[in-house]
Amino acid sequence: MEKLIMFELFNLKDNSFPVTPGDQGDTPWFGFKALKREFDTAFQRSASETLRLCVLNRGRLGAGKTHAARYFSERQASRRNVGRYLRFLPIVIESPKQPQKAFVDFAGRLFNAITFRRIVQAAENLRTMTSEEKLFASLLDTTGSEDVATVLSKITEANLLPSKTFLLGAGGVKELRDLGLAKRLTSEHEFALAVIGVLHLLIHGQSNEPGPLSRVILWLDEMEDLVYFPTRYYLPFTQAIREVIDSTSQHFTLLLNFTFSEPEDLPAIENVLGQALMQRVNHHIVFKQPTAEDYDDYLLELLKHNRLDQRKCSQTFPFSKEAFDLLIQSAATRTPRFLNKLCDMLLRDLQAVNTPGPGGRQEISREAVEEKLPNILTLIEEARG
Amino acid sequence: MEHFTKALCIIDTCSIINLDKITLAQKVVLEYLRRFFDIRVCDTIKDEFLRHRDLVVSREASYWESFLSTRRYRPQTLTDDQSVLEPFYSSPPSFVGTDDAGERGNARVALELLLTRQAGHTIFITDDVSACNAFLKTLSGAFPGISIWSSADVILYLGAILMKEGRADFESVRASLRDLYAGARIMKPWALRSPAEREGLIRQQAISVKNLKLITKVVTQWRN
Repeated sequence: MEKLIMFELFNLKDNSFPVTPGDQGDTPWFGFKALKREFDTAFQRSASETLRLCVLNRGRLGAGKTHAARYFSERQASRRNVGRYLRFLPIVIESPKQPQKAFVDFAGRLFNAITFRRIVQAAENLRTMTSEEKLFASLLDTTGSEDVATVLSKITEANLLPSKTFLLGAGGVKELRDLGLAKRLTSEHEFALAVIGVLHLLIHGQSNEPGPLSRVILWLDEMEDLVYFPTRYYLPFTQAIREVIDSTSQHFTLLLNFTFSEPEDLPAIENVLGQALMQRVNHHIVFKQPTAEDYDDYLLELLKHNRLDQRKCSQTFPFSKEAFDLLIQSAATRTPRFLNKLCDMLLRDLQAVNTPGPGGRQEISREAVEEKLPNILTLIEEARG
Repeated sequence: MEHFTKALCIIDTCSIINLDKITLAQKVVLEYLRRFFDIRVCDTIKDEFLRHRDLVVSREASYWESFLSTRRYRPQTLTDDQSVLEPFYSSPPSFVGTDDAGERGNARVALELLLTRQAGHTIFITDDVSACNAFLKTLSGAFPGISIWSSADVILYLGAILMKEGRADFESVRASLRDLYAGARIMKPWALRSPAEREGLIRQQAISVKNLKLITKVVTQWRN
């Protein structure tokens, strides 16, 4: 008989319980309907209002903030004619990890996530609709920087490399002269103007015909890492972010993910993000502690989604109802990531000793879970660090 | 200032290193420590300081090498770590090697200065959470004359005085606290920073800033 691979024995796909969202581009959502509704509301507001929306998503580690960023970004990316907009342009990036040049790092991450080809396409669309001179004028009006307006109004496939070099803060004298620029981008303020210019292109240049604009949905993950920024790096970074927010007062939704085990403690969060950024937050989403019912729905939907063969299977398979309830109980005060880890480790552990029952399938009993649970809980606890 | 009675203060090497990177009202906090406190240390602290000399960068730190030599205190009676400190540990260590040697030596100094009435009260500055949990908290519980301060407590203490004197304001003290929580761990690679550590930093920073707000309320009495 051919040996079964990994979770096939349990009638489940291999990566059924991921600890972090994968990169496959097909992120699912299970349970947590109230939370999903809150995000839907934020996106409905984004679709119907032109004014900037700044959302602060706060919750514990493993509560699903990064997952939500992936899920909603993938979902919003494919929509067209969203409310008053032609489309949403979701971008997910992590907060910078190099305090010394935080905003340069931020701008680089942002441009790379957008892709320079997309920036070129937007500029081309706008040149087709109006003219290079008019595009320059509108960019100058938005950014106040002649250099940024020059590069972005002239950016094409032909000059992509030097333009890209300039936008990433590099470039020699000759390259700059060829582009008609005075100097490289150096200060946070100059990089902020470049970001503002690029956002302007994205919002206005998604089509080469006059019509509805697009809305940028920028999702910044791991904002709690700002706690590692000493003041001399923290202030210029937050000042530049403020500049971007204030200069993009329309057609822009900024979502900030912040991991903290006491998500209701706003003063603690404000200490890290800064008062100025907090004052610009006008929508809050809290990843509350899930109830047993939340976990119940979550795990049932997850199992159903990942089942290899939906036929002749109990809802809770591969777990018996009692084993399923025990797992939910064990995750009661924890997070969805914890429940995923628990299920994953348990099945890996059990598959090593299990053999298929009659018809190839055998439910996992409560007793089997009880036996394995203490060891697995200790391992998960130790891995938390 | 002439009637100012300096508090006796015993400081650990990790706090010297942490406070070397922090400035308040244009001065490195170590300088205030030297001027505002009657510092005492055990022999080990100077050795540890020299071993970690590459981690201190300020000009003030260069004074500390000789300064620590002059502030050394050698206990006459409480000379052995194990016999003095073992009762304070829930799981006593081997007392061999350099782990926690500075904290243990300083603890003996603090106890002897207190019990021989050379000091009415001693402040024990350390940022070593594991040493605090291992024995220092228990020791301070048994000997209330020894108070344990973190580097953040030092900043709050100095911040209050400097704010009252108009040499610092709320934002500048807050900036020093932020630098402490961020900068104190700057030597650690990003990947080695655990979520639990980050949570702790956010929580401690919130407590410090909350205390700073309380300090501000009192200090403003001098402005009204």
